[in-house]
Amino acid sequence: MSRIRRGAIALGLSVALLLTNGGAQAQEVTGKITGRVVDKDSGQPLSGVTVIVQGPQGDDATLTDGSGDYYFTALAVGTYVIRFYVANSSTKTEQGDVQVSADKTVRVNARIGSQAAAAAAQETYVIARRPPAVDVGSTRLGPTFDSTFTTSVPVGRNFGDILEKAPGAFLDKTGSVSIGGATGLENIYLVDGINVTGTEFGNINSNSPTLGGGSNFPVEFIEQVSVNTGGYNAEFGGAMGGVVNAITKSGTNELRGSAFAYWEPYFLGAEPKVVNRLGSAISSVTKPDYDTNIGVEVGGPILKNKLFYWVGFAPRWQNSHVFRFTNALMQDANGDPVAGPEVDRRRITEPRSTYHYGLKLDFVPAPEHRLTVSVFGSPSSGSGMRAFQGFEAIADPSWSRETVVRDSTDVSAHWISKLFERKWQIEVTAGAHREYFNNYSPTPGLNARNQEEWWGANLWDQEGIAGCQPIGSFQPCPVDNYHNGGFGLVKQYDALRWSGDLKSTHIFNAAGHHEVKWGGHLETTAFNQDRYYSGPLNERALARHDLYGPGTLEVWNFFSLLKGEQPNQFPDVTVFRNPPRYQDHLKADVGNFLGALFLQDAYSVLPNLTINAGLRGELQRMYDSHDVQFLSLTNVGPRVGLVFDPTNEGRSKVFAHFGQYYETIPMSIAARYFGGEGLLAAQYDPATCTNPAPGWTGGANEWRSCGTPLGGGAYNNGTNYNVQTHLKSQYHNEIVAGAQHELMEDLVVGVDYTHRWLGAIIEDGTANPNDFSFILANPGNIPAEAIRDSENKIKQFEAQVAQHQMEVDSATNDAARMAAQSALETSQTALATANSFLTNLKGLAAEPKPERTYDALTLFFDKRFTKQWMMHASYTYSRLIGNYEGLYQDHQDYFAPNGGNAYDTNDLVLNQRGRLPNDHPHSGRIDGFYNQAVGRGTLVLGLGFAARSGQPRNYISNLGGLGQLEQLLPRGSGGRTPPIWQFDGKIAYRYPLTPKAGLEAFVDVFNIFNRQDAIHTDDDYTFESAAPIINGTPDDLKYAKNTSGGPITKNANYGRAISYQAPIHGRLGLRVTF
Amino acid sequence: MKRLFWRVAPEVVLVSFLVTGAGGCDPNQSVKAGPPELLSFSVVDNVTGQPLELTDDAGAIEITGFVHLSALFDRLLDPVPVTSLDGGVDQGANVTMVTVAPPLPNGASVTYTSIYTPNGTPLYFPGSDASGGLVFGHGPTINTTADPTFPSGSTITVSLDGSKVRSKKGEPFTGMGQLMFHTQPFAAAIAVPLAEADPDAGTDAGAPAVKPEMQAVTVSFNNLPAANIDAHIHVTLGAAPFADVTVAPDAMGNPTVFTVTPTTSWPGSSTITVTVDATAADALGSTVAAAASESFTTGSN
Repeated sequence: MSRIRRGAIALGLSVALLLTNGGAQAQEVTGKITGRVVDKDSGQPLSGVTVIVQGPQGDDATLTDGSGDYYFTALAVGTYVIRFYVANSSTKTEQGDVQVSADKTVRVNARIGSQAAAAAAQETYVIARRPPAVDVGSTRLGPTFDSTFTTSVPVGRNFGDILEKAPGAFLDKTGSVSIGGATGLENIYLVDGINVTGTEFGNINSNSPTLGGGSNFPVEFIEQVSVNTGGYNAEFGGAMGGVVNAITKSGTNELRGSAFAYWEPYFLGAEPKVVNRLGSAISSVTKPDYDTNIGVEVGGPILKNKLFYWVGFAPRWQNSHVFRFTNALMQDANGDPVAGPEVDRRRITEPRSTYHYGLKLDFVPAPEHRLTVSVFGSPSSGSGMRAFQGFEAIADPSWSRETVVRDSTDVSAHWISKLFERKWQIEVTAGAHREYFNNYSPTPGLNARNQEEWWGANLWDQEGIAGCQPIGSFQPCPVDNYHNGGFGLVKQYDALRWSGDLKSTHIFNAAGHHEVKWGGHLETTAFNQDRYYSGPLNERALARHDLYGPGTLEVWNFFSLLKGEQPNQFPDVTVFRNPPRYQDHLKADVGNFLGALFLQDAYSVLPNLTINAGLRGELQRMYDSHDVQFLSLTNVGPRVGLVFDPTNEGRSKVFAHFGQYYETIPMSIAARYFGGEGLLAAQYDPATCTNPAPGWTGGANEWRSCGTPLGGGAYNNGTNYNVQTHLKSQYHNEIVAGAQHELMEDLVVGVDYTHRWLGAIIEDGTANPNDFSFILANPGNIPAEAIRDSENKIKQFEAQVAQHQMEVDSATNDAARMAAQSALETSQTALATANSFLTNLKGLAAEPKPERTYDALTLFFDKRFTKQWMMHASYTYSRLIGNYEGLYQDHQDYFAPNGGNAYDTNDLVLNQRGRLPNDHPHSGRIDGFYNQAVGRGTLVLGLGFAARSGQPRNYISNLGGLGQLEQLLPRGSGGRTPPIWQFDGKIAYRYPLTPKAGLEAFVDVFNIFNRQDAIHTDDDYTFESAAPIINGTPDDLKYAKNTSGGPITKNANYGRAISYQAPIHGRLGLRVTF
Repeated sequence: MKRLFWRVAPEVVLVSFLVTGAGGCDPNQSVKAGPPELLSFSVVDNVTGQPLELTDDAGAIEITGFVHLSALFDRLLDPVPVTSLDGGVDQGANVTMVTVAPPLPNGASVTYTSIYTPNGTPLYFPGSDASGGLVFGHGPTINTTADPTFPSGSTITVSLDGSKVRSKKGEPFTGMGQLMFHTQPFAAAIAVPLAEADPDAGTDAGAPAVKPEMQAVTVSFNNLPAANIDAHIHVTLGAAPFADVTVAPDAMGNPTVFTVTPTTSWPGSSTITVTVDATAADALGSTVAAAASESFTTGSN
């Protein structure tokens, strides 16, 4: 039985089990209103008052209890009117414009006349005071953005672009948003309660040419996005960054919708800065041509108050082009190279198209029951220029072009019922997230040619560019890491994640008011990946020329070990260049199972004092290519918080919360380190090759024609990594505390503090210099039981070896001796592997404890939209210090969650402690808009401002030819990149066509002051192999030596910018709303 | 007037406490205080890059003289007394005091140079082993080399000059920093081609003959030989000198190894003898105790 089928059946059984047992968990897609009704004269609570809420999908009603309290749960997101009716009276009191947000509680108290007086009054009282704006129900940090915000403030096109508007958040190099000091790969993204996080790495789709990612829809499809940056309760989990909860639009009792068009032409943008690298003749810049996005979304009733639909479609076409410039260097009077004239320019276009669509149905048979089903998707395809660490080669435009196909599809169903007079609420969510990614050459022949990588190359030899002719021994057009030949690494994956949630909420009074919630979450993921180096069959590889000096040749090919083999069996790893271990394709069909149970209670000891306490238990199991479980993690994370409302009116809160948050491991390590990935780097003497290397073009029989390899290194085992026993999940602890107060109507100011510190991490590594076999472990934090287990295993294998040796010695005939000898060799191999494992384990245990400590103090100012204006403003002071960056490694641009290179050798733990890449001590932002009536319409002025400190800079050197990995000086020794700031603006004019329809024309301008400061700088101090200077300073660099003992050669480009802010660019748009 | 909060905002007190009490500290990346501690003081084989054992249960071991000394410290040193930069290239400094017994041959001299390396010396060089060339940082190191080499057949005592070795913060080295080792008398070892046994040959077939090709004979010395060492390597065919050979330094760059290769191929059906004569000397003039030779017999062409 395939794992998918097995997973689906398991999911179904589990959901059924949870239903019968009444347990489970889900993510909130609805909100709550609560409050107390008192007599306006005596102040005494009034029981039996009828409270009716009227919202976008109809009405709901309840009675106040003996304490005068009332509760509405599971309300669809939107704006409500609340009416209070006193018994035996037609008098009513009314509170309008109550905003309900997902998983938030708004308190609306009412002071109304007593029953007798009311009976005589016969009139309606409208509560003039605005409803409170403080979420008094939770300790959660982070803002909520609604569709009013996204259409009035200058923002990007997709909901993922809004997330960096949260305090302290920013877009990091992953293309996703860093929250709370974590990397962009550590968030969880939920759309309508379904986990749509990227399966491979945990990212969100950001149109990066080399990545897939989670679903990311246009803002017009989204009703509301909550960015939970900390302090969230037990029903949320799996993230070490933030939890992003997006709610898509729903139909209402009125036909509502919009048609929109965005057009961003090239002439509304300034010229981007070109990244010029000293020491390289090549530079490049990407310039947009246009970005056009049109769409329509409409929702309404099918059956009033019962059945609603919403549908949306929004195609987007983007086009840009890349210029590659060649500037020949010249020599000054001393013979030193200086910048010279442009001698060549090439251009390649990059078209991309995406077709977003969505369909949603809401069925509300009664106010107590609701069923929502939806399907969303974003198929996308495009082509562009391949980029290799910023050094682009376009010798042949067809060569450099790549095709990227992405698709994400999300299907979900959500059912919620409130039973037994609303004392019991049950919620079930089920859905699927599918993700497809394919990156290949559109020219089939290039997928069948080896790629050639040239170090110390020049463009005269490679391309014959006029003006690049050598002048004596001087090369005017040097270029390193130049690629040509075939496409390189071809990658495709198809992932399917099924998920199911069940949540049960029980509301009762017992020494206070309780809202006990318990539930569960189940997920099963199938991740099927195929990768290969381009090339002819049996010759697929990457050829690296001159990496270790002129005339050297290294060839990389994939290999997998045969069943039962271990890497330490192969003193000569170059055998991996040949079948049966050599692999044309590296296919990995791996799987994941995730289960979670939670129990939490929101216990209101007093109406204005709530204790949130909960426990979340999680189980993650991962399966390798043979459908065998290789990892099983269980953990229990406590959460406890306290919320106190000093005003007792929902207009302030003081809160504190402690929680332990565990990571859900993305599929990348399963597909790589448990999918048979082995990489052989074999060195050859080019003189032994039948075809001389200088003429290689990636054709057939080039590297295969070379003689016996001189040597080689094998990386990533080629078989499953050994896994430490008693493996602990990766997690951090978090304390948040803060206060919020509604300073005036609709305006909340607040201060909060977050302290996060790591518990354990899961990473691969090796600490045995004689055996490059990796293990998966808790480096720096390995339990003593794991060491003991390993030692016991060695004793068992030693006993087996002794036993088999005796059998060999006592064998009485050849057949028996051969059998015993075979068993002896098997047990000897097992013993050697166990010894290697123990050496690695002890080495990793002795390495520094992983550290990533985040402290942040945030001040914020939130003015919701009333009286013509709205504003979110925040300032965050933070520090992020440690030796572990997280699931992404910034300098290497390495996406390898839980499988990075932080512990790949002992060298790499040196000089690591310092200010981490996402440390930006000061960050602030202001986003808002102001409406001004002009003529018959309204002029909207929107503003976005963001500023933050620069990024810590480092001194990086090479680790023995394996890459730019070493911290030559302690992390952060290089100071910082410049601070970044940017103003964005929006001007819109909204003209009413009918009472319910309007036309809007708008202009968005991003980076109004055309700031183009450096975002990242070149931190490669030297490309030579040089060990770290422990606790060194820049003064020590002049004494430092490379591993050959000579002085190190500084990279001429060190410290120069390698990326800049995008220049000023504008966007025009039209929108019809109805 | 109504207060914003019902009394002095306790949350401000709470947050202030948390910020001051639990806030992250800037990392301490400076060199720790105190005098530098010597973690190891090793004699390292120049060829293998591996530290050598100097004693065993039986006492002192004689080692090759083609070595260097490596002193590893636990913290960065003040580079000024131990370094002399010239155009960015470290010319070294005299940081060790070396005594040799017996005295060097007449006319011979050795220059000892210490090079300070704040980022240490790797044990594993890239590409030098099957594991892919791991590089392990070892911290601040003073490597002392002998030019041309350490003398053969000697007892050598080395002391670090404590007046020059001090931490980057100025605290002087106060440890022992002494080392004594014995070098082997200068000697040569000759490796001749081996014949492959014929599995079909009988037990009385005698020693198998070497197939005459261009196999190299390897001559290895236990110290750096004199520059004219090739003149002391001789090849004879039977009793007659055989000059049709090339004596060349090792292709992998090991200066203590030479190869002797026929210009075309070894003559067939011959007994070939390679000899290092008794006057062969190391770079300091110490000669081998006696001539060394090895022979092999070739089969028919």
